[in-house]
Amino acid sequence: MSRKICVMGNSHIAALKGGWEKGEARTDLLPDFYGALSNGMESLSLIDGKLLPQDVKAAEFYCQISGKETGVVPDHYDAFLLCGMGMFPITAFSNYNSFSTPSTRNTKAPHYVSDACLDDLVWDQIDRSMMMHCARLVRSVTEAPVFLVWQAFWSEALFNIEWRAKQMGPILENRDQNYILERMQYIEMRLEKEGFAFLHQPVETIEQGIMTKAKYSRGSVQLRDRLNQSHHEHDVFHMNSDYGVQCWKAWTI
Amino acid sequence: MSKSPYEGIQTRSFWRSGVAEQNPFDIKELYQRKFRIRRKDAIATAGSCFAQHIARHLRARKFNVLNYEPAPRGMRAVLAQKYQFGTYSCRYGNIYTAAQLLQLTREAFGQEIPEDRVWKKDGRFFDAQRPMVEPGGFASAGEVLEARVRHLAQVRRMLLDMDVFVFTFGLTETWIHRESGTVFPTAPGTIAGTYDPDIYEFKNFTHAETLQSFVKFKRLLKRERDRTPRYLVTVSPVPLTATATGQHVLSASTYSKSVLRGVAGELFQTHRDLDYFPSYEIITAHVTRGMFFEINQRGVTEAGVNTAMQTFLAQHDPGGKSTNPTKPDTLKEAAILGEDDLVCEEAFLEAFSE
Repeated sequence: MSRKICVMGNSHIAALKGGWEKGEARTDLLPDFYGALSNGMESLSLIDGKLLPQDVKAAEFYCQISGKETGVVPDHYDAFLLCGMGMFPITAFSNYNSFSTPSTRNTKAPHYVSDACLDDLVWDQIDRSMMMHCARLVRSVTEAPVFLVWQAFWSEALFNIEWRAKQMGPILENRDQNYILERMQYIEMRLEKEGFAFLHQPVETIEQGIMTKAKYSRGSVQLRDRLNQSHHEHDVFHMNSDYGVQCWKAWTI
Repeated sequence: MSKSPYEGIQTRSFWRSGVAEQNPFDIKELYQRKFRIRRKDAIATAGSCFAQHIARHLRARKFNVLNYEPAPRGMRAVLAQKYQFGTYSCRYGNIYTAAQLLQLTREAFGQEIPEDRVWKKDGRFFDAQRPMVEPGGFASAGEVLEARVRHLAQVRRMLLDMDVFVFTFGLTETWIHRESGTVFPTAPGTIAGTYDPDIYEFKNFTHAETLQSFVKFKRLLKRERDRTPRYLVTVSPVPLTATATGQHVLSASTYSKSVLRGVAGELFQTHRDLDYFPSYEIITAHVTRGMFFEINQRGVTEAGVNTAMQTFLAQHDPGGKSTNPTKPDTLKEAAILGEDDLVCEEAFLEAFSE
């Protein structure tokens, strides 16, 4: 019997929705996709027993994209899968060139702080994210498993953008990928204690440990009822349907 | 010819007109600047806890307060304060004594390496000269020293670049390493380290010692820099949390503050490039009947800080608009930050009170 899965997120669920529609059918899962663009999910609330954004436009889109006419009734689902919505260790990346820690090899950074300082920073960022607003709300209304999915690592196409290349280059040159991964592990450890589980980016899609292969971002589409509008040329954040296919292949839910 | 040298002098020179008849929230002409500090001047701040207020208010008025060890990008104020980013112009924590200031400056210019540099607590390692900047410490002594090397490079930059140095004298009491004379900002065993009377001893600096340390600090900068900075000194009005002199804490506090006020006064009289700002008087003068102190009679109220800073800014930024100085986003970490959102290592002594 298929497990009914509620997939929630922002623009990043487009890849999962597209991947589900494109990939080989999994008979064990029956996902519904709910989402709102940009920050629409910030207003997700429990309204009359249903999970629905309070923001009217977001709610309208949320229902429309799902093909349902109403919000999420928690009891209808065997598991929840939340993705995107700021779940990305951006502060670990953005501070790498200025701050080294005992875990890094970047001797050129002008400042040196403890790993705990960066862990606190990344935790604070994630803790206040739209993802955690939604995840904690879902956790509070259901005993079903709640899986969290990190946003995919930035596409390796980022090397076409000078400032992003300058940001990422030193991490790779210093072979400090583990520094990023350790910060993510710390977040996972804390959130597992809150009753969340994690689904990880499929290994096949990863390049040099902390980037996504360009072929999985090329032609990524925007979250619309029909997935036919591409993100702009230099979008390195959003993945395409092939990425979604890999995810559905890899994940055990 | 006048009958008395007091005849015809300004009204602020007389207690009745200068104080008794004045509004304690706005005592006219209490402070007249020796030199103007402009917004574009590169201002570095250091000193005891009270100095944090000065930096906060200057930043709110868009003064160019240096920050050579900024918080990581994306870090909120409350977390930045936990790790002491932006508390002062570098992450040196509170510098309570002039001796500590001199020692740090010598270390930054490679003239001295303090002894007993790393303290331990619960298997973690702390910088003995700034034990609160990394509240959880480091995993090894090597990491502490690596952090210190990078910190000192920034301190050196700051000391060379600043146009104005604002320093608040905080304490005369301190703990030193017996053998080397290294001064510490906190008593060993308070935040980290272990107190061993064979290794550490208590020291209560005199007026002459405090004055000498500050003058040596100034001379060192004069040697190292092409152009000497200007100095603005203040005395913290915050009494001692605890004394190790054996005297009553009120007497000990009065001694300490009197020495520091005396040193500031002498520096003001003898150094043309140094101004004294009387925040100490504004807060502690008995005309205010203690209303600028918190219920614990130690912490300074926001009204007190604002009154002091308005007096300062009336001289240095008379046309400036007042804005709300940045405060931490939440007070949920108040236990760490202290009762009035300052970072005060000294306040930890309260935990040893029975």
